[in-house]
Amino acid sequence: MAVDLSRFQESFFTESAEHVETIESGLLALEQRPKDLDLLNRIFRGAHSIKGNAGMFHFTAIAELTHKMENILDDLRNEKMPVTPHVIDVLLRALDGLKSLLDAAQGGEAADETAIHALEGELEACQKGSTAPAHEGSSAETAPQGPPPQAATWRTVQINWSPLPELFQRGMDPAQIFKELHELGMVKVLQVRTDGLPALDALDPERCYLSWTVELETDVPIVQVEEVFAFVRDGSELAIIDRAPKKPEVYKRVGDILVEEGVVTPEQVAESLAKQKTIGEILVEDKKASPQQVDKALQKQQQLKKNEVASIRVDTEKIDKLINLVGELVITQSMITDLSEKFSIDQLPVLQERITQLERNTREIQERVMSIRMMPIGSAFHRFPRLVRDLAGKSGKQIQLVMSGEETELDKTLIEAIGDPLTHLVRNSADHGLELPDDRLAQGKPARGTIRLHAFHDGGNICIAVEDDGRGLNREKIIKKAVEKGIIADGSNMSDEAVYQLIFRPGFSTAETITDVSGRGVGMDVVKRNIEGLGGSVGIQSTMGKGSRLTLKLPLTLAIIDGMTVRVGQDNYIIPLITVTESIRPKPHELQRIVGKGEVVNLRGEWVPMVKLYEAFGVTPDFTDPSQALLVIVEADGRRVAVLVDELTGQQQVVIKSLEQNYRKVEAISGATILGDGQVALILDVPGLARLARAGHIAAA
Amino acid sequence: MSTATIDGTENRDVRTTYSSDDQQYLTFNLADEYYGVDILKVQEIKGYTTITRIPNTPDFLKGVLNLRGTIVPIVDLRMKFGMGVTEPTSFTVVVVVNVRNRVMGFLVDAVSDVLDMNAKNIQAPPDMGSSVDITFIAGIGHAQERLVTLLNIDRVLTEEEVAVVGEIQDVEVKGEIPA
Repeated sequence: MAVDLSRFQESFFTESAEHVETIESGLLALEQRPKDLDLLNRIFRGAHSIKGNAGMFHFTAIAELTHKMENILDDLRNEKMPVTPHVIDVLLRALDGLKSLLDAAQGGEAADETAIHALEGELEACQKGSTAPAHEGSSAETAPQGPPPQAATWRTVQINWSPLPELFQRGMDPAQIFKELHELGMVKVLQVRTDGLPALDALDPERCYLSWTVELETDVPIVQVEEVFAFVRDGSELAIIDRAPKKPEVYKRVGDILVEEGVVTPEQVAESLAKQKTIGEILVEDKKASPQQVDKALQKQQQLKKNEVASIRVDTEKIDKLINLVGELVITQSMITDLSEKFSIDQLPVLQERITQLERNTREIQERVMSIRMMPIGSAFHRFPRLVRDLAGKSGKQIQLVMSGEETELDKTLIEAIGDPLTHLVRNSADHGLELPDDRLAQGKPARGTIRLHAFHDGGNICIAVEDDGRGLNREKIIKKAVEKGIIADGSNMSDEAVYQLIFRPGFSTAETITDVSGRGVGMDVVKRNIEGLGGSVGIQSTMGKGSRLTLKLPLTLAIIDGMTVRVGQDNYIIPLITVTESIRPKPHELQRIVGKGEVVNLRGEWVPMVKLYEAFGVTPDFTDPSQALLVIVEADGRRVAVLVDELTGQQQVVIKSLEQNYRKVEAISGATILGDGQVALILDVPGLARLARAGHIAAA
Repeated sequence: MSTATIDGTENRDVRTTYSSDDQQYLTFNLADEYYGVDILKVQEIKGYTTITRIPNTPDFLKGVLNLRGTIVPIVDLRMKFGMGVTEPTSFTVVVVVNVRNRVMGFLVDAVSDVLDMNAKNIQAPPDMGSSVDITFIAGIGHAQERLVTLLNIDRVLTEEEVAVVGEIQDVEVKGEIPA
């Protein structure tokens, strides 16, 4: 009679992830407001839910760890022990362990058992340490000496229960009993015996034929378990077997035994464990696989993990509105059908009006459907309070994190995609941007540095700013470094923005010391590439000694872009509006042919390479002379390119359709879209155009 | 044997000898030649509409069109078979087929009929030497007095022609397709 739980597992993981977030943010807030009982209760409830659910799914390790966390939380709640940074620290680390266990249960990399075990020990020690002095009497009662109280009473109780057949007639519900048992501890096994079931025609639906075996892991006295059955005892067969306290001897790892026997110290075990290699490392060493192959496999594993959770939680409100709108759409449609059946030309205004209504319905539905994928960006911000706390602890800096605009909504895929780049920027700010307290005081700044995370809408884009009040970027140092690395020849004429953009070049790092968090010069280029891959851009503002501000600008969604429609001869193309900086009609003297490098146009002193679309795409244009046609200046990868077109025809939102789905990728084309008249128009891939311009094989024609 | 023929002179309803060896083919014309494709590969037949050209693609790729929101590439079969560009007429249609999990359209001069063809009436493609590529010919079918070239539609375009992501190369219509 086993119920297939696997289909509920996914929601368990989603829910647990939410609880973990609640607990984490709760713990961080608790550190600031130790007396906030509401907060404590919220944290406790989160932990309790994870424990309960994990027990249901037989994730014993998760349940055990959360149970130990819960014990501490309970003591905090009952004021048996005070909220200290140490307790918060231990709980936070336990939470990390919990995350890794959840990950492992979800099919990720196996969690480090030793670490988990150590965490459990730490939790126990933490609880014992704090409880003992405050309540010596009470703890002495339960466990005079030796093992900690929890370990002594925490055991399995087996219950065999065959209820009276008239159970239901007495108004009893077995489910209620199990629920009560569940509240006492963790129901590890719940088995139903169906051997008493008669044939279907002999079955009396009002009689109970089933009996159960329950294995309950609990720490309450046996009397309390018996009490649960108080009302159903009469006439039932009931056996409650209190198994001996769970002895750790049941399973022990070699390391633990050696430590116990005094052969080695725990530190030595940990040290040796640290030497343990991953399967990938071993394979590489044995020359059975190349590091690249292992890396690739790891990436694939990550990818698979990402693919797993593809569900989305939507407010019922959003769905309800959508259903209403679809209802309206159906009504409009039937009105039009009705009209078309007996249409005469004098009804034209009515038809037009109804079509307008249809348009409005469609647009609203489109917006609503898009909004389903929209989530508040706050979920991407959640990790930062913790990150900043850890960074501050490690570097000895005092950092205050201020977040705003968490409610700003953007596409779910984008939220997931910006997590890592944002983390990198925040780390950078904490590590390189902010100074140590003494240095700050010397400069007349408050000892505590501030990092601001701010999200806001800006037209059709979302901007996320990471701002710090630290030392700011050092123009001279960047130029010096860039010259050293051979990235540029001379930076004296460069604009500040252009100099700052140098930090996004691969292999660039000005940090004097390399810490374990940042400074290796990998990262900023990855950040920029990731953001540009999402159709966004990264901007930098900085003032020496005052701080710097990095702004990520992203489209709201990946499915729809604002496009500028351009025409070349008979063909229409779409240029993503975010890449367009301006469009000009050049004067003949502003055009120049550079041998071997194609044509360039002088844009206020800067020579910008030109891509003639008609040449690149083999179309017959209206104009071949740039001074009669138009140049659209686009920017990608920090480079500008002038695209020669016949005419700008308009600006509209376009839905991106894939060319690759049925065909393949085409150079300098990022996709296609369907215009109002049902025609297909191609969307230009601006970085691809820039590459074409650089490669210069267009100018060869 | 099969009772329906290309010119449809016999009544399909009297078909009595249908056997499991029979397979149905959709036949169409390219210039004055007859071709057939396995009807199970055909998704639909669509009238000719304006096709959006894709730059820097082989000549036979006419472009793409919008099939109820999906972008479908259109292959000019005449160009592919070296018979010159298809000049659209009122009979020109697009045969939309499923090829290796992709939806593609083939531009043909006209569709003619659905033909029941018994395996007995299908010959292996003749060996024409290396001058004619026959990897995409499944066989030659006889129906009445006509010969129908039965296409292995999956192989009309090579894997490189439809799937390679990245640089565009001059594609040669040759070679085995990986399974």
